[in-house]
Amino acid sequence: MININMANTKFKSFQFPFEKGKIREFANAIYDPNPIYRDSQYAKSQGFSDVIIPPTFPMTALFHVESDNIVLEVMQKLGMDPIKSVHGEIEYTYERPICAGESLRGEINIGNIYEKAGKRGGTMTFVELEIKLFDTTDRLVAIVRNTFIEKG
Amino acid sequence: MNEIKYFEDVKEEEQLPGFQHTITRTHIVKYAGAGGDFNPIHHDEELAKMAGLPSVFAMGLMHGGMLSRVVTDWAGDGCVKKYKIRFKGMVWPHDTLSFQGKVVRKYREGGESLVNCEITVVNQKGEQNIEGEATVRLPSRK
Repeated sequence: MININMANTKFKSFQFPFEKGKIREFANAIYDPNPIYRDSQYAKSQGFSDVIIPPTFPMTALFHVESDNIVLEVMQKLGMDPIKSVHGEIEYTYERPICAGESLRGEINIGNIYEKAGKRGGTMTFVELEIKLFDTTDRLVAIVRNTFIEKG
Repeated sequence: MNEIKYFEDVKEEEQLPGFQHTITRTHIVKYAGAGGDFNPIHHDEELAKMAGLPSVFAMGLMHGGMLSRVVTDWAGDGCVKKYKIRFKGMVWPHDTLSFQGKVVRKYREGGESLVNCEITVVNQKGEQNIEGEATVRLPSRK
């Protein structure tokens, strides 16, 4: 049974360093050869302080959170059954680009929890997991919103 | 490498240049290491079969990440305001995926010149694996 009382609560905080080598490795794994993700000189010539991150890079926050498996940990705390659950969607919102060398403060929050009727009968429960990233002046830089769906 | 795309030069319904990848287990493993998704369903063949699947399958964020190039190659670097993807179908080794996008709307809002795009990943059978949308901030000549 999903614990609906956990909707709109803080879950964990963490520190997220954005590292050039990791950005290059990630760009390689998504097969994007753009030098903006690899070449500091090129990035500076384009007006950035160093290489920037690809748009989906922030999920590597997983490496910086104290947990063996943060998604599983959240599901357990919520009472979700991982076998019946899927990653439904993910949305990244940016106030500005993020560069290598930055270190942002991260907050993981549980967002809304709601139900919808499944197309083949049964109930689907939607759980939002949100990661907010703040700079050293506490300005919001980016938000990652995940929606996980447990099928009834 | 990328030319500057100006807001004024964008046409609604314009197609974004696309590309294809044929997915292998190596793609999946590379992304698992880079992205941090060590869920064994994506790399442990025995476990996937015991779970009743024909084989391992790719994590959505792998091809979801590959898709971002459709937007950034076209719009330029550092322009993404929003990138949203919905996972619709599973991706298996040997699938050939087409990554595509098109402009759906250009508008000015909150002092920014914005363009909304629809982006998609479709497999060799025409099945949609990812349905998505992106919003980019573009420089204006004005």
